[in-house]
Amino acid sequence: MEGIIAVNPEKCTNCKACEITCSIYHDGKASIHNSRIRVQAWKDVGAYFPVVCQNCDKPACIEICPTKARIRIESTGAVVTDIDVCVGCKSCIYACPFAAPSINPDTKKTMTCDLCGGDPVCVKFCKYNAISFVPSYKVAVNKKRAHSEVLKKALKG
Amino acid sequence: MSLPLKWSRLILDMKEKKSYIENIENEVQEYIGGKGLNLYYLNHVSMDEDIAVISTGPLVGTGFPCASFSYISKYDKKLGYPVTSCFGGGFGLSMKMAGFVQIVLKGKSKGLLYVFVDNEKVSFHEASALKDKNALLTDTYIREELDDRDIETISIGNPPVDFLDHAILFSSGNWPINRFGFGKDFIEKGLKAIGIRGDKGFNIEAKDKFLGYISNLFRKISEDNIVKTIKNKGSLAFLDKKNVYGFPSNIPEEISGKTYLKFFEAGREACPSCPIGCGKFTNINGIASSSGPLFEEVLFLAAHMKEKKLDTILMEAIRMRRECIDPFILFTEYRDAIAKIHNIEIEERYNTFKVKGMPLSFDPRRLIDLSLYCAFTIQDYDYFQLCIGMDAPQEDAFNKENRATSLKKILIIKTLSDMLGICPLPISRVPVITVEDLKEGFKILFGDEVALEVKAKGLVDMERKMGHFSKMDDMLDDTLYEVPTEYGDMAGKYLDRSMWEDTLNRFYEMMEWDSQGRPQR
Repeated sequence: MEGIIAVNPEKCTNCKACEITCSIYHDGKASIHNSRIRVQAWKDVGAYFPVVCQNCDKPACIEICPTKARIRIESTGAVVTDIDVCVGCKSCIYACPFAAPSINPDTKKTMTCDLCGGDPVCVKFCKYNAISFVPSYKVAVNKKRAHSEVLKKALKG
Repeated sequence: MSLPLKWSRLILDMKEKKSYIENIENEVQEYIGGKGLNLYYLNHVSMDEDIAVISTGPLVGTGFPCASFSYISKYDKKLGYPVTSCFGGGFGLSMKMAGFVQIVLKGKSKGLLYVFVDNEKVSFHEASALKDKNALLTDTYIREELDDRDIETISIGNPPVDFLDHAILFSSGNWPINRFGFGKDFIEKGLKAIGIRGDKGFNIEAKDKFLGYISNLFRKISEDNIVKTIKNKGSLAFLDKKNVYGFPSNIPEEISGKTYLKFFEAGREACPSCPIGCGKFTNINGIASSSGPLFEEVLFLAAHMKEKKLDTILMEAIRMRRECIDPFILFTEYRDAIAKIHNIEIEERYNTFKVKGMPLSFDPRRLIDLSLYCAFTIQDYDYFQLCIGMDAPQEDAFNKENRATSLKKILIIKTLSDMLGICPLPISRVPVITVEDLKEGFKILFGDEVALEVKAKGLVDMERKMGHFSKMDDMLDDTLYEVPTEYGDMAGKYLDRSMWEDTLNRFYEMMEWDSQGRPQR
C-alpha cells in the first residue's frame, strides 16, 4: 500500500518503542539515535510529538540534494537516501520543513523513514495508536472525523 | 560460556570532583545487573563509607517490553542492612546508551553540584541556581542549559528540612524513587542531580527473531484485560470494586475512571518500551499539578478536593507529598503536618494497612509486599489469583503447599525482574510477563541459556545473608493475627498464626534454607 505514517500526538506517551524497534529493524541496533522516527518531548507538560518523514508530494529534500541522493521509491512512495551517493552534507535536513531526516551515527549519511517496504515496524509496536499507516487522503479524513466527534457529542450526547 | 555483557561501572567521586571507569564484565556474569550488581558492590566495600550505587539491567534499552527499570541501593546504617529503591523513567536507558550499567556515588562535595555524564566524559557543574527548584524544573533546567533534549536525569526537589530524612528522588523529573529516603543521600553528598546521555546502542544479532519475539510479548501485554483497564480507566485502583484500597469515598462518581478521565487527566506518559503507560499528567482546576505513576494518590486527593473544597491546599499537599515523602512510610506524619500547617482536619481513610503504623509494603526484604499481603490475608481472592496466576479453586489455592509455592514463585520472579530491569507492574501486580518470557528474551539477545532462576535465588540468599535475616524477620505483625481484616472475602476474620508458620516452614524447605530461614550456602 502506498501511504504515510500519520501521527496523533495526543496519544503519544513517549515510550520510544517506535524509535527502538525502528533502529533494530534497520540497523540491528537498539538505539534511539539510529531511529528514522524521533519523538519530540515537552516533559514538563506531558506533550509528545513523533516526527517522521511525510513523503511530501514535491519533497524539498529531493530538490536541494546536490548529489541526487534523495530518491523516491516508486512501490511505496517513500522518500529515502541512497547512502552510496549521499555525502552527508545535511542539506536535506535544512530543507525539510520538519527536519525529518537525521544523521545515522554509524554511516554519517542521512536517513529517513522507508516505510519498511510498506509495513512499518514502528506502527506495529505503537500500542497507543499514536502512529498509524494510512493512505495519504485518510490523514485529513481521520482528523476531520476526530474533530467532528466533539460536535457529535455536543449535539447527540 | 560467558555472556557478552561488556558494560562498565562509573564511579563519581563528589569530594574530588573526579570520575573513574571500571570494567565489570566478570561481576555481570554472576550478578547480571540491577539489584544484583548493587548488592554485590555494597558487599565488597566498607559499611562505613557513605556510598550509594545505581544499576540498571541487561534488558534495559534493548526494546524488551517494560524493561526500563533501574535500582539505587545503599547500606542503611539506621536499619543495619542494605536497602534498595527501584525506579522507572528514561534514566536506565540513557545509562546503557552512555555505556554504563552501574554508577557509584561516593564522597561529599563542599557546594551543591550537578553531574553531567556525556558518554565517557563527566563534568561537575555548580548548582546553586537549582537549589530551590523542584525535580521537574531541575530536569528541564539541565536539558535547557546543556541544550540537549535527550538528557535524562535523576534529581532531588526542594524538600522542607523537617522532611529531609524521607526525601525522595525523581527520575526524569517525575518518576519517583520513593523508598528509603535516597534524597537525603544526594543532599549529603552535595548532589542535586545527575544528567546523562549517550550515543551507544546495543547490537542485536538475531534482530528478526528478537523483533518477532517481542512483538508477541507487546501484543500479549496490550491485550491483557487489566492492562486495558489501566489504559482506558487510568488506574489499578479502579478495578477495586470492593474498595480494599480504602479510597476516601465509596461514591462511584467520585472515584471512577470516567470522572478522572473527564476532569483530571491532562496527559499520559510511559517508560521506554512500555506498552502499559501508567504515567499520568493530572491537572486539577487548571493548575498544572502532578505527573508520574502515583495517580492513585492524585485521584485520592481529587476525591478529597470535592468533598472538602480543599483544592489549593491539596495542590500544596500533592507537591509536598511528591517532593519529599515516601507515601508508604510516612502518610500519617505527612497528614498531620499538612493538617497543622493549614489548620484543617483530614480524615484518615486511606491507611488500609495498619501494622503498627508501618505498612507491610515497607518491609525492606521485599519478601512480603502488597501482593503477598493481599494473598495471605485473603483480602481479595481475585487479586490473589492475579498475583500468582493460579487457576486452582479457592479452597486449594490456600493450602500450605500452594501458599509456599506461590511465595517462592513471586519472590523469584520479582528478584529476577530486579536483576534484569523489568518494571514490577507486569511481573507481580499484573502478571503478564513470565519467567519463561524473560529467559527466552535473554537467550535471543545474549545467545546463551542462563539459569536465571538460580541467579535470582543466589541474590535472595545474598541479600538475606547481608541483612542477617531469619525467621524472626518473617513473622508478621501481631496486629494481623488479632485484628480482623476490614475488606474482601476475609472481612471480619483474621490470619491464622499456625497456618502462616506452616507455610513459612515449607517455604524454607523449598528455598533450601535452615529451619530458621537462613541460607545455607
